[in-house]
Amino acid sequence: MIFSESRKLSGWVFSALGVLLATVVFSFCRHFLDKGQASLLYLPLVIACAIRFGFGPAVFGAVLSFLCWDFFFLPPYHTFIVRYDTDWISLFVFLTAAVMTAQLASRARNDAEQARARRDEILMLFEASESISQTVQADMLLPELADRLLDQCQSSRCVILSRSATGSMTILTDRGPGASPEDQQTIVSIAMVACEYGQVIGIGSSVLWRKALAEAGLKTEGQYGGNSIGIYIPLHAEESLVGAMHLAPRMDNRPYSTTNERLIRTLANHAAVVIARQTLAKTAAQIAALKEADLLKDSLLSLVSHELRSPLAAIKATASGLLQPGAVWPESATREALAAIDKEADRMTGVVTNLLDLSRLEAGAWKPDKDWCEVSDVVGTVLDRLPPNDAARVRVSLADETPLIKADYIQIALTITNLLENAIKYTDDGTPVDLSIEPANEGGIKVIVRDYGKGIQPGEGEALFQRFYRGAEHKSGTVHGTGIGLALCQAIVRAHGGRIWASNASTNEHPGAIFSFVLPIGL
Amino acid sequence: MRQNENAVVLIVDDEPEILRALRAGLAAQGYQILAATTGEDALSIAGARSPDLVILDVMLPGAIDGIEVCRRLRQWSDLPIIMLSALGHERQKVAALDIGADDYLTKPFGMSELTARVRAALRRNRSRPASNDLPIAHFDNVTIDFARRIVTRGDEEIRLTPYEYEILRFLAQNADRVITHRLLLGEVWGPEYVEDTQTLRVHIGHLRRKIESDPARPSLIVTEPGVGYRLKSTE
Repeated sequence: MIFSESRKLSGWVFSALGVLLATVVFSFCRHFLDKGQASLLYLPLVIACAIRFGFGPAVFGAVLSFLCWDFFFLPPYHTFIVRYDTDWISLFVFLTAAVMTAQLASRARNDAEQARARRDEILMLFEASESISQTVQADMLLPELADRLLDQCQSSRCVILSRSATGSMTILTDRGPGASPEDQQTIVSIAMVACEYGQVIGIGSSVLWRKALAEAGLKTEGQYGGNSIGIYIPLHAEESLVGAMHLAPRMDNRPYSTTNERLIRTLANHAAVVIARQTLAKTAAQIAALKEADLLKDSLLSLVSHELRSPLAAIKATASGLLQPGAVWPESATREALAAIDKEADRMTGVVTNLLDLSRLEAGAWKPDKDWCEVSDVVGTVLDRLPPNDAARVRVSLADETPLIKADYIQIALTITNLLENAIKYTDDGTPVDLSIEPANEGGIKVIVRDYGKGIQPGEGEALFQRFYRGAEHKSGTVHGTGIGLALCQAIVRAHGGRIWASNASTNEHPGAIFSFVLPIGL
Repeated sequence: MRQNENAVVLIVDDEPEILRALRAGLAAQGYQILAATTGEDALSIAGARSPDLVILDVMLPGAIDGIEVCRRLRQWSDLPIIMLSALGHERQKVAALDIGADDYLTKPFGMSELTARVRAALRRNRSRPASNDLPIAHFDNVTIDFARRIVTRGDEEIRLTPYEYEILRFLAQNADRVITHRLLLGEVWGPEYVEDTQTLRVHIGHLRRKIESDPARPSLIVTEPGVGYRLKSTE
């Protein structure tokens, strides 16, 4: 602005000096030029002034030329008196022509300047939106946008807020040298007023900002008095109010120019779209999580309905049969019925225990209670607790030296039990199940359970460890299963910092599935 | 089962269904049954009727839980106490055993298992005054001569280190009772070593290799997962 002030002044000076110079030049040429031809020198000068410096200096130059011409070259010389009436005509024709040309030229100049300014503005907007659309990280979009605004508008601070459906507002980004957590509450209150009225505060709406300040509980004088409040713009996207943007006053305390305002409004629209998009993404994520939970609930329901209901039905039928008034049961049948109840209760216990264990593990409520374990000892306990018929199928091979590991004895026992039970359950009676314990290459121990069944389906290895997943061929099969056991094993092994995987026996061996897990020393 | 006729068992559990089932199951075995549903009741009944054995649920409603009942009973009595706990209450179980409970069972359990534990606990209690003086104990084919500190398997003498012998002696003198890691470490190594479970694991491993016929599937020194060890006597 200071630059343009001096430019304006230099226009007047240039104009005066130009006229002076033209007068001197003409005074040398007056011997071979007609006095009327002086206008030929003055007129280009006026046009040049009009193009370079605008209308004012040009008219000033025209009047000055008029006077000089009259004073120096029209008889009587060195007076402003004009002897011949025709000279008057020339003088006024010159003045009129000069002023009209000046006007035309300066208008053309203004138009050109405006066009240039527009071009600059459009370029700026383009650059701004380009840089925003190139920002890959979603959470950097708003800060980037705020930085652009700060840069272009010479502002000290830009705050962008989101608005929830209930009307509460949260600060998403607070940028610029003036950013501070101290007066964020004030900004939030004023932004809420702007949203409530749905109007911009701070640009040509002094009534509203006074109101806003009053509602935010602030005095209109002092720090927030005058225009130092800055600008508050409510952000609309898809016909709903999604947030607000605040821009502190310019650092040089001048009002924002119309160009600034246009940029601010444009970028405010950008911000609104970004916020709306982020809100949508968040909602989508929530919906996805709900869907996942819904799916889980479905599979849990079908599991509960089958794996819990069928033993329950058996127990209910048997017990009520025994209780039937007047029914006469032979002693052996009674014992058989009671044994069935006992067995079905055990089955339910297994399902419920596994289910509870898994949910406790996944909720982080069953942290491994680590203590020194000898895995061979764990194996002894596991085999001791398997039904004798099943235990007899297990062939144990222990390496001579296995390191002690720090692990939760009960959880590791549960893992080995589940793997053995799976192997026993899904293979034919009489086929062996190999259990081997060896030191792991990477330290710690490796436990391998190998059966002599059909093996696992290709590509099924990962899915087997998912909750409620059951091997494709077993879904409708006769073998009871919940799809919890392996998920439980995986949760336990992972909680110990180990890994578990499934594979098939290599092709030149007897077919069968191999489940292996590795546990670190666990210090 | 004749010996059961005079034994009085106090059952403490706040769930009426469990109480009824246990009462019926034990009464069918010939025991006399007392029942309490709170810790306060349990203590007053135990004081007034002096039962021969207490079956005590870890979780009880009110100010006095099962562990507290166990602790207070131990202040004046060494009657056998069998703790009942639901899955996931391992720490309470260990705490109860540390302060002197004899045994524990995790719900749900079978009645036959409970009656076996009750029988073992009663038998142990009857023979307790004599057991420390008994010069020789037999476990399967392992014989311990306390007087001469000699252990034999079959006809063969087994050479045990002093720590291994002390572990075996303590377990044998508390045969069929669950001995927590802390109790065992405190007894054999001393009170400042009660946390040193790594040492205990190593020595138990060595001991098993010497006295078990199949060390991979121990039948004498049985691990109670997450709790401790128990030396099984042959019933």
